[in-house]
Amino acid sequence: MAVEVLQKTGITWCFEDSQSHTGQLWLLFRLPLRRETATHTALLARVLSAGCEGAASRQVLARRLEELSGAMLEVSVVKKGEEQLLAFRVEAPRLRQRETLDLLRRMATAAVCEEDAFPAAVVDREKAALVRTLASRRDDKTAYAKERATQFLCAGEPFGVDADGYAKDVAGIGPRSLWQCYRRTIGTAPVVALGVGWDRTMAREELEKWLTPRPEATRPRARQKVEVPKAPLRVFDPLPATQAQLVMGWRSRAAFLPLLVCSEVLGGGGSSRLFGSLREGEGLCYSVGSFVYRYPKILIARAGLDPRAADRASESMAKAVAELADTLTDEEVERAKASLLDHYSGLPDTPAALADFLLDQLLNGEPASLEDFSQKLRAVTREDAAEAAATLALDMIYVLAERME
Amino acid sequence: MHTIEKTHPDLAEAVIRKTLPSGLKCYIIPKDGVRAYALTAVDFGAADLSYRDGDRQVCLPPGTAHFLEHKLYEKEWGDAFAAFAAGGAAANAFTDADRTAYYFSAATDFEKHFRLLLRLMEPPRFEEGSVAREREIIGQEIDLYADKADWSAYFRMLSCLFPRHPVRNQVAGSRESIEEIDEKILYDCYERFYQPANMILVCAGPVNASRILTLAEEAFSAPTQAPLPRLIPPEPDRTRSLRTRVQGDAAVPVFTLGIRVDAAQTQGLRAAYGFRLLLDTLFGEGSDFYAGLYRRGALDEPVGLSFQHGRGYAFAALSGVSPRPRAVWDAVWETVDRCRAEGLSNRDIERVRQKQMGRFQRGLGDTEAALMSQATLGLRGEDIVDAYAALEALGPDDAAVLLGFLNADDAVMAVAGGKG
Repeated sequence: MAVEVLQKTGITWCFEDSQSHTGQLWLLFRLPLRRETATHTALLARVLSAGCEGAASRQVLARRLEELSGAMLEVSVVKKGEEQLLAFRVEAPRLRQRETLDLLRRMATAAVCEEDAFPAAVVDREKAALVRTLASRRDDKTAYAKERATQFLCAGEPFGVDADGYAKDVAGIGPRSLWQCYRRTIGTAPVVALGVGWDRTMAREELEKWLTPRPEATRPRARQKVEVPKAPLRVFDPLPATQAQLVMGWRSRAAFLPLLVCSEVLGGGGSSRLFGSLREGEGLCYSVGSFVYRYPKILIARAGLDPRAADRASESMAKAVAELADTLTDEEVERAKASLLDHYSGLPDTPAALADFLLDQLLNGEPASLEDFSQKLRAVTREDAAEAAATLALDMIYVLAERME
Repeated sequence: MHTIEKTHPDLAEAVIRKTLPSGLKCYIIPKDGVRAYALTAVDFGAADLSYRDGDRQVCLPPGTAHFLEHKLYEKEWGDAFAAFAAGGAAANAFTDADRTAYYFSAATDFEKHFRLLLRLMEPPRFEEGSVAREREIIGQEIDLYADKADWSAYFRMLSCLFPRHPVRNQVAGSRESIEEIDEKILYDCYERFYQPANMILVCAGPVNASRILTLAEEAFSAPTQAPLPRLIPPEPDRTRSLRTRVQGDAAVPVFTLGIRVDAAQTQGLRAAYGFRLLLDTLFGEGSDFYAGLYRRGALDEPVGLSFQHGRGYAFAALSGVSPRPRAVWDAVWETVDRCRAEGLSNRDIERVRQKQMGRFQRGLGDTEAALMSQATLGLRGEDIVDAYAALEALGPDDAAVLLGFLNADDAVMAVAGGKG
């Protein structure tokens, strides 16, 4: 697998040259994650999906994509660390890639316009849809609890901002202010153009026709230092539910990869400590696990369980993390690394997963190389992982449940 | 038993098929790539709740197949699930109405893990208390799904659409029904259904087909028992048109609209892919149905579409989120009536067929998706090349015939959330 990365005039070009007959091309406009602008961007993604020059409605766009052998082109917002990305993601068979890029160009640069504004009817329609979409998120309790917990844990920090937007902020957005947001984002935001299994020469040729030079992305950004309180924040989020959702967050100063290994040992799968203790041992839950946010570095452990067991489970989780530094074994660390390496080495089989990995690497200023990543992961020792575990400081215990038990 | 290799000029993938002397049907899709996958599926699912064993009719509590899926990993020699994880492979399992499937993927040591998958199909051995402990875990799984509005609406729709057929039951059963499941039931079901002639093996990725077949033949060399006949209570002729509300919480109403169709007349690939083509043409992202409801604020996103069929049941389903599910219901039947009166647009059907063929081809590019497609087809003795050929051969006449099966009198809409 060969990846070519080129930084030029505010655009990071990253292309992987596999010859699969389906390719992924992602065009990502990088914006700082801020409460003041998050909802604008989220709404913009919806409005841009509603039509463009030559395909003035969702239906015409959908039919055009059907004609292109079912190619896919979606506009959405993606949260990565302290950035909100306006993401155009294209999947197309090799023979239809040029035509799909032309559609992408029109969606990005030739939105339907009425006197320097989006059509009011379109904006109103999408505002109503965004409010409903935001409200519906609570119907997936597991995902909702994770997002809410992050917002509580990182309140006041950029990472605590909801990249999907805020229902309260929707009403204040008008067709003209949204149009200005659109012109500013497409015209000046730093861009990542990422292709996997895509003809790189053709893609650059097409995209450079309209992607104008822009300021370089600034890296590393000034990042806030966050003090961990002596006692963890306790949040009870009341919501009708059969199960309680327990989410706990630990801050860390450690490097990402040792922390990733810690998380794999703790809650990475069927051989993890939490799976063995909370599920198989105590029978407290069906779903349990842990994961790591790369920036800011936070380890999250979560479980869905009987509300009456939430306290017991949170104590077990806290104990499991507290014991981690002193009890990690070589065997556990090697097993965790083997499992992670197995996962990462399989990414080239799935273009979208590989694109996501490459994006994470680029945004974190790391080499866009699976080989480099795997080599660094292999080099993590038990001592590195134990050192990372020792930095974990419990910062929040969040419970979503119908009532406090 | 010959090995057959099937190809199609549009597909980059071929499928190698062989039925072993034990009756095990094997399907192998060799592909370039890093990660290799293997899956075994047993023709025993959540809807198999009654079977004939000699002169005896045996009835099972809902959730039995799923419970056995959880417990199959427990072996005399240890925990098979942990053994996969210890070797760095990702293992998983699932149960649906018609089958129970076990699979893994690995970027290295495929043969080691493949042997483990074959050993996984050996008899389980339950330690004292382990079935009771698993009941607690499955109880939590049932609660997890109870909090999913779409899942609740889907099974409410099925329970109304099929007053008797066991497909109406939740896959994991209920908290009450799993209380009835004990070690004996699980051992009995294993003995009766986990037989090579009642199973398939599917592999996909960078694998050596002849080696796989050799290992599978060695593992399943014992004489095999013919599949036991399942007993399915007859359904009443008509469902009657019904809209029903599910108790529970959803911020914006979540609905599933199911349309029962004649199972006997809609088996086979042509009907399955024909229904998918018809539903996508009538109600998909490019349809007038969606465009109209979107304009009126009744749908923000396109509906999810599916056609499901199995032993004694077949139905089409539309699922989604809508502030006005009633408007969706009305628009469905207005669309069906209009197409019956005016005929289907050949151009629309051809456009959607091209889309589905393109997505089918691209879907096979993902090794896991190729594995899962073949796993669904294999239990019916079909494969991915058959399926693509069926899709390719479809035309407006097929869609017109299948349109006749969509009747409001055989439909149910279940809604979670909202009022009234």
